Amino acid sequence: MSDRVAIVGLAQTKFEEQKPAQGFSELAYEVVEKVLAQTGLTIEEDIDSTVTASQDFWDGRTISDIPIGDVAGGHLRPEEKVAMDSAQAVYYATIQILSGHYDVVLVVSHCKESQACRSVIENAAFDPLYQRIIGFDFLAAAALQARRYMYKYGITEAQCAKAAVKNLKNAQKNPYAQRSMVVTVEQVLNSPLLASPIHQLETKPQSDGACAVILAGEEKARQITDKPVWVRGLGNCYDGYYLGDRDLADCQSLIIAAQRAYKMAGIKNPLRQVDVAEVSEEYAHQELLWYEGLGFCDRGDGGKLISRGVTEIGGKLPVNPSGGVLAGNPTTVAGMVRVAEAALQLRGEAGERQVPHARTAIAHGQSGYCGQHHCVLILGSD
Amino acid sequence: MPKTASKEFLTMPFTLSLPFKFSAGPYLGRFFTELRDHAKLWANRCPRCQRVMLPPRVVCGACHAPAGEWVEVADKGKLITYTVVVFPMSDPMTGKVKPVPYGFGGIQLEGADSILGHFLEETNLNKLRIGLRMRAVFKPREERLGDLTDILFFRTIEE
Amino acid sequence: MARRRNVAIVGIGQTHHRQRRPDVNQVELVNEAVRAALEDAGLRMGQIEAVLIGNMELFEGNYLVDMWQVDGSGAYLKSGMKITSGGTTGATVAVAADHYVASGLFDTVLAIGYEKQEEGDTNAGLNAVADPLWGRTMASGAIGYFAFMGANYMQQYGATEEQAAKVRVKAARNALKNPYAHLKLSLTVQDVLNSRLLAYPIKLLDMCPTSNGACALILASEERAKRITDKPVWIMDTVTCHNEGYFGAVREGPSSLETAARKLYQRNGIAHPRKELDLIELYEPSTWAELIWYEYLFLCERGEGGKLIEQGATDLEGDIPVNPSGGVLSTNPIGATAMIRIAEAALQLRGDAGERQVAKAERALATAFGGSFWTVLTLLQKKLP
Repeated sequence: MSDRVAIVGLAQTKFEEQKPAQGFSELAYEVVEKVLAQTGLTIEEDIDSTVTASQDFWDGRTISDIPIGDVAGGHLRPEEKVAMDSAQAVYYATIQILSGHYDVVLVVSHCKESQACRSVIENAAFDPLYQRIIGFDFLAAAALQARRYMYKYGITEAQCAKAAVKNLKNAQKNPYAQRSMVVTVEQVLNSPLLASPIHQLETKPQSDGACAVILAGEEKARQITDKPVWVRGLGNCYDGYYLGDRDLADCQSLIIAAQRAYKMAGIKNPLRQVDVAEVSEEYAHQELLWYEGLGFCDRGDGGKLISRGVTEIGGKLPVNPSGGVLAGNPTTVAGMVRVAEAALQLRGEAGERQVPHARTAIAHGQSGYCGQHHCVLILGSD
Repeated sequence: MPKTASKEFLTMPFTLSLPFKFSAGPYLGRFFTELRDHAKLWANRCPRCQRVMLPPRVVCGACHAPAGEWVEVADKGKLITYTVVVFPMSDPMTGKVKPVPYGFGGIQLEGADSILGHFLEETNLNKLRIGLRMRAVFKPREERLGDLTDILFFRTIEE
Repeated sequence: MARRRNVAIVGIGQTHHRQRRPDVNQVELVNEAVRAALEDAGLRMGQIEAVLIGNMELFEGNYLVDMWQVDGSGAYLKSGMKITSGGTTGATVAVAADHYVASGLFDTVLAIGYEKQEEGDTNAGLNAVADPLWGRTMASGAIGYFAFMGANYMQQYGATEEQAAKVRVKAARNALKNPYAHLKLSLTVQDVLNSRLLAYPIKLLDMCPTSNGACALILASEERAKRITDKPVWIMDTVTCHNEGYFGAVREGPSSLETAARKLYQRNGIAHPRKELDLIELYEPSTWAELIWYEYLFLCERGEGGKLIEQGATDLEGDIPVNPSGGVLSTNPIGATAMIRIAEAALQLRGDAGERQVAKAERALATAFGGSFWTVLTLLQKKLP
């Protein structure tokens, strides 16, 4: 029975706008093979359980983990699918180990956005009785959120665009990143307007890819690697559903999720105690809003925080040195990529995007339009 | 979208149409190319348990060993199980209802360990039994598109 | 199974499962089961710390349905997640809730499974289980596969359609005593044999229905459980066993049910399940499945499933009652079905099963089936060892 759980291995594919050469099995196998090789573990001898994350809707497949069972240790073995952003799959794997039922868990997530039609799928997330008929997708909902957020707190378009500028530039140093570029705020705001006030360079691109991590209880973790990344805290929370029920300028479910995670990890002042954060920003303005939910600044000060350069590489708390979701991650996979990138930082293996002396990191994932469900993990080198 | 109110209960009709484009990947890709171009059936062998698997795939799920050599399998084999379906069901690939009755069975092709589920030409239950030898009937080349329906059905080999 | 701490079921709720529920939307349907579970446990929603839910999204066509459900499920401002696994969903959610409470991070967790099948196209949903690149055109739903199962079983062991029909007659008889069951029919063997042929040898009454329904369970840590109720039902062990994805027409190799059963029995010192289990709530989508799975659960020898039912051993008054609730053949809201097995087994162990109560109920097994022949087994006990 383990009181502590660590990430002992991780792997990701290069993210691309499309990966026509691979079906789901091959895509998932790529990261499973990599992470098993990295850790020297085998499915038969070492893996007790597998947790996967994928979506029936995106895969066009009822029970979308069926093709993943073969490649991820599902044959005559336990495998469970979390049908949410994969940070939640890492959370659940941690719970499995803390429960005492399993000790080493493989977590795998995949998604090929190129195979499906995003707006139709996202529209189906709006309930069939009340909201769907209006024709929403996540972009439209996020646009409402951005407008409300800017209005309530005086956040400017330029401040939102700064998140895109920062992340797209950070991605230049990330070999897995789908896209990267050096652009100015002006260029971002001159990119095509998709849904006011959101511009094209402020949205995540279509993406295909997969990610895998292995978690283990303390004793096994120390046998498997000399650089275990400890899960020191976790928290998640659902917000309300109807767009009209929420003040879209707020993110109370992120505040609650973060507080739960911080409490477990003994963090009272994230700006001082956290060295690096990987957050899931599907739209540029969301990064600013998530700063507030994560307690990096007061409510309404997300714009000020980014303007002061606090979250730049070299700043007090670098956010998304990997380039984040704006650099290109598929839905569902994005959260685990944040976990993997944060773990790389803590292992000192983040190459050119390394934040020096990183010992405590935040990895954040979210599900549902406008970030209804948030999942926060605090990771540490000790 | 029209709303219909029954006497007591309001309902909202909605048709969900989800378009997809599925990548075949390298293994199914090769299988379908050979099927389409040459009416040949190719499987792959697990290097550990030696199972010859249809469809060919990236790993053997039981052994977790990566795919081994390609093996051509015959277009004929033994009927392992069968039924005749009389209940109309739609073909999810076309949305059209499959005409009934149709034969549906599992065939173990010579050289393969896996069993292939496919249509049977025969729809008379009295003429079907486990162990019958069957042969694939292919569509003509110009009609083959590179999917399993390039095989029309399996026909009993008369002894 | 090693566990940090013991976990018990302290609240059980389900809707009255029906063919049609035009009076409620999906959120309201879920809320019915949730309220019933809270009332059963004597708890308020504020005392629930996490909400876990499962549903097959492609059936009703709702992407990220747990988001819409927050009002009905009680997940608003709470921790929670969605887990789905086809037919085994209801059990997988319950197993996840067991993990959550056993972990020490949560003391009281609500688990929900539901399906409002009339609001979707069940056949389309089921056909989408097949790989779009391999066999989806031929897919004949569950009917096709259970037809194969029945045909082969008859061929291999000389089992008869009458024996399969007896499974349905038993299910119907038991369902008449279950106020929650969907189909409450008085059936004879002849009724079953005369029912409409779907795909030889499967007739209409050999297959489960589709139902609208929800089920909710509240799980708590040992310490909390003992304060909440004087009839906690303990989760002794669970086994989740999946299978590789492709199966041409019949499952090759060892069955996940047999593999899981061996593991469960071995871990729990069960050498003679027919004697050492008091009842089984078995997930049987078809009559034939129940006969065959008697054997895979080691209740009898291979090929003897038909004899077991003819002896009346699995009747309500038999020595190993199977599906006193009426089973899946009587009630099948897919996302809930596997959880209903656990709920019904738990009701039995509490002595709260009314007219369908099995006389001696101290230890029960609930099974779940789905996916590419996946299995989840849950072993429940009235008392901790």
